Amino acid sequence: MIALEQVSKRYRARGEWRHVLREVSAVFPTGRNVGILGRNGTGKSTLMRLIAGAERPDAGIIRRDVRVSWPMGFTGGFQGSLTGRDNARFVARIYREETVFVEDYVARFAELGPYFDMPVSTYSSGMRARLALGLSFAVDFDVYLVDELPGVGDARFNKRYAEEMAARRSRSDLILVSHQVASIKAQCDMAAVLHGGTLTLFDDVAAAIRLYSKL
Amino acid sequence: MASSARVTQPYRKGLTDGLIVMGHVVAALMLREMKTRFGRHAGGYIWALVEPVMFIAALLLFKVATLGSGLQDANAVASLAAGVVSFFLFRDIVQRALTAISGNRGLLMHPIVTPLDIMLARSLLEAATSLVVTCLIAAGIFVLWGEGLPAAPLALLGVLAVAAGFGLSLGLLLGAAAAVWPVVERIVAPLLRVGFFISGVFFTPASLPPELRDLLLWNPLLHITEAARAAWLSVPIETFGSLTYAIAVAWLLLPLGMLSERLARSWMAPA
Repeated sequence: MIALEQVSKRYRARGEWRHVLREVSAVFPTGRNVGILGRNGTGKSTLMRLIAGAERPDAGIIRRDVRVSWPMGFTGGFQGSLTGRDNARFVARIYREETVFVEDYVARFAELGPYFDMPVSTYSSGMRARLALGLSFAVDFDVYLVDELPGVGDARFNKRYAEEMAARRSRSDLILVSHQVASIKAQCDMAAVLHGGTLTLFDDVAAAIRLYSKL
Repeated sequence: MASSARVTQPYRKGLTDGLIVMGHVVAALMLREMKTRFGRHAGGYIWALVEPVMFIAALLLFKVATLGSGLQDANAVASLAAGVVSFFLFRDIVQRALTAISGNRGLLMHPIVTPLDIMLARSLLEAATSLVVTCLIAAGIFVLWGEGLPAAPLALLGVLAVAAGFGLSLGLLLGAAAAVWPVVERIVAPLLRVGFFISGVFFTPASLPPELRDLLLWNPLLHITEAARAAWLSVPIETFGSLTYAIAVAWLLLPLGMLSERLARSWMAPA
């Protein structure tokens, strides 16, 4: 379970303070896949980073008693001078996963070929994203944070990604951030709307979509 | 209000659990650092040895040229080596801890990794490197001069540990400050260069006029280089320093450094 208790967070953009969350309390129960709808610029990514534990709220507490992934597409954690394999081994070590398993899994999933043993700095952005996605699947998290992904691979990769995501959904939970109603409808059984510093959680997706379409 | 704001972690629950997780993370970070710094080129390792050797050689030649001391005195070389390795260890740890966060912001997207872990891993790697370099330099002196091995190796090890601890304490404090005020990173480098000249690397407190000596003895590093020299040389030397003073300063700085690292975490969001 992930619980937000009276959480506030604001950030400065172009000299103005913007509130992403204003004393928000919400519970993401275990066993549910939650979609978060929000227009561009409402702070969906910041909310993701807060849940990921990468950023601290200005006030309030975020309680997490489960292993939560980093926002899945995030590629900034790689050491550019190290190979994809070395980066994978490092992530496996800090989360105490079997390094051989993680290496094999990532090599198979990301399909980087010989690039897996080349420095990450030589990768294209799509290759980095595939490495990051493979790694987040390779670590056994209870909750996966999915930021809507731009196209990172070819049709074959996207199919593999969708299949892996579906398989993962059956044993782990998902928190999916999107401004596309369709993907949330397809993957989530609960949804929330982020708007103007408030997060409104609905037990069924249709109700959230109704509110979202009125914004 | 800000102090109560937090994100709880499932990874570090109790103290024992937390220490085990920290051990794993620090070990993984050390491997990562090792590969990054020394990795694909041997250059990283070689420079770690070449830089202090160059300094020792240059200082030795300077002494021979100006003071007319002979090249055949192994104790003169050992005396320089003791000062150089202990000061460089301190300096390198401060520098590595200082840039630990700015160079690794992306890592903090894994909340299981804390800024303290990164600084600790870097310091431990620096200390291990320094130990190897010290052994190689001692062996080099022995080969060239036929004597000059550290007379009290365990005491020398202890002095190096104090130098590392002092470096880490100060590095934590400065690293936290640098996260809040990035300009700190650029101020510290010249200060460390000044530090080199007042820390007894190429002079001994005994050779200074008493007024200047009393002033410079406020600097804990001077006590550290003195203790390193006393441990390395086989002949008794007149020492003015006290390692206890350096240890006391390091112990006072450590909680301050750990506290400031905590306080600065809000500024250490991943890029």
